[in-house]
Amino acid sequence: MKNRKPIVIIGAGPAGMGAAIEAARAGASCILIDEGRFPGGQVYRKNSKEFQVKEKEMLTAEQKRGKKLHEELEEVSDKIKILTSTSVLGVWKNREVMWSSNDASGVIEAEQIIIATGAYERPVPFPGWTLPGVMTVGGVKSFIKTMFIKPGETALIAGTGPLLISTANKLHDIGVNVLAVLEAGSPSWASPDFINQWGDADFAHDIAADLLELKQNNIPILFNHTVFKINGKDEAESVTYGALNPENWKPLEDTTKTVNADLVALGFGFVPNTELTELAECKHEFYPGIGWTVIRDEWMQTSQQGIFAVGDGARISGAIIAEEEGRIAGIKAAQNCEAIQAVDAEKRSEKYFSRIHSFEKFRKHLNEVTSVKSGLLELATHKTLVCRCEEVRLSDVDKAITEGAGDLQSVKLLTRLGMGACQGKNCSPSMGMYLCEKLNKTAYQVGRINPRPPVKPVTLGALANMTITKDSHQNDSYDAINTGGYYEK
Amino acid sequence: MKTSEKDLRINKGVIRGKEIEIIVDGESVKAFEGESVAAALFANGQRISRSTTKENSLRGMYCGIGMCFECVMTIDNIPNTRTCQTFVREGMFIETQQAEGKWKTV
Repeated sequence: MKNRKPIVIIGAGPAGMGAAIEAARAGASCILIDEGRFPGGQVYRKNSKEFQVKEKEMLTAEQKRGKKLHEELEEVSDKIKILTSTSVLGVWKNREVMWSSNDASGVIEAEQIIIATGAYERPVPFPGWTLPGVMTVGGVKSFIKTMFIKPGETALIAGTGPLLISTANKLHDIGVNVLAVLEAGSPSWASPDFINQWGDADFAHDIAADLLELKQNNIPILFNHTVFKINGKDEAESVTYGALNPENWKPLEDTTKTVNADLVALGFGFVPNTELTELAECKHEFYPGIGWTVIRDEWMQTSQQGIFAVGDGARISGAIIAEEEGRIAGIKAAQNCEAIQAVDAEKRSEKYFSRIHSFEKFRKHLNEVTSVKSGLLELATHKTLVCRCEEVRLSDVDKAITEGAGDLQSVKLLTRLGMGACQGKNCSPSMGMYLCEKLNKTAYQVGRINPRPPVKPVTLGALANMTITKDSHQNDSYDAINTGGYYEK
Repeated sequence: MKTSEKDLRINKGVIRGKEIEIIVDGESVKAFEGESVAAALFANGQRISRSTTKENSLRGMYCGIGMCFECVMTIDNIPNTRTCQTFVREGMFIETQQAEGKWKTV
């Protein structure tokens, strides 16, 4: 190989694992970075190595896929440098990656970069959503899956999409009293013959199995309903919920009921975590109801040369497609590093391309399970916090609009919206939509909150300990990092 | 050791790591190796991690994936440490964080 600069893969979920496996198999040198203690991301998150978990005899389809992917990565793990418990602070278009871990940090000069940063739950602000005891469904599910702890005693689940159902079942399994699942939409997967409409796909079978289990668990599911307000002094104590207009999801105020619950799990679909592709100045495009996605070619290459984006961090498609996208990018990146020839890359990627194409027909259903309607914005009152970090209320945003703010960036400068630790992830999707509605503008006109490096908090001490890596065989700079984790021999 | 009426751990199907003690707001609390700080606190019935800067309102773990920074606490004298991403160690010193927290000068 001519070039010794590595392929840097950011995020070790299904997409990043797929990319690392293929790049390593092709003989390219690569570095896989993740904030977690072990590879796996959210869907395939590993249990702590200190825990001995008795595996169920019957693994779910999702668990089987995760197990296989972990095994594949383990097989090639001696060829990959895996940096766990490591945050990426920034990525630049000249292909530099800045990382930090505990009190160390560094910059890697990468030959190719594969961004696989996954997604997070779309925030929908409403009164009481900041109370302790209110969590995202994904957070609840992985918490109980890996920590074996009840996050509450009595739960209500609300939002949209099939993750609500699998989380409700999981909570029921561990003895939490699940009052109901409130689904904001009336989605096609609720119809009895949806598998015929969706096509015979793994994803559809997962949903069907979860729905059946929900029924067996006697957990009611209310369509076109959601949480209006969470009440409590210090923590969530009760929940006021009601019906939504099926057309636009506007709350119907005269339909409310209040029930006692100390755990509220929320999930209104997902938002791709694009802060690194934005920092690298890759081009993005907007889909109404879904949000911003990264523009890519068929090989998952962004508009920036040598920078790929794969999985839910580029566009929401779920773990199965994420893995295939990662594999394709891993192969192409290895070719770009001259580890393999173009012909070989074509051959290696053929089956992954055909898998992805076979999913095209239910792409619209994937969009359906992750999109929202703007009527939900009416759940927030003037006093509702829309930016959790900087404690900005909806009335502050309205005031900024009155003062002439016409886009998200101006609202940020006038109110501090999006300037906190989460870097706008929990306010910009909802407030972007709010500005579009209020000002009758497009998402492109309203813009986004520009991410600023470091995208994760880091100490000055760690930055002072910075090292520059130009060569993936250079070992000493990683001494301070926990590179062991699950794969340590 | 602080005796809480609550232990929300599920013991079916799992054997946890070694039992250890962590110090939470000056009191000794039971934890097991392999648990995140947030998990050990939740198991003990504590879901509040901090109070906010402007309004002094209470917050707890929200996203569980290291994204929202709601679960931050002061751990071993370092404020703004994400408890969902930090794992317990024997004798770890954890404090509910007020506002931006305080750095201890050495």
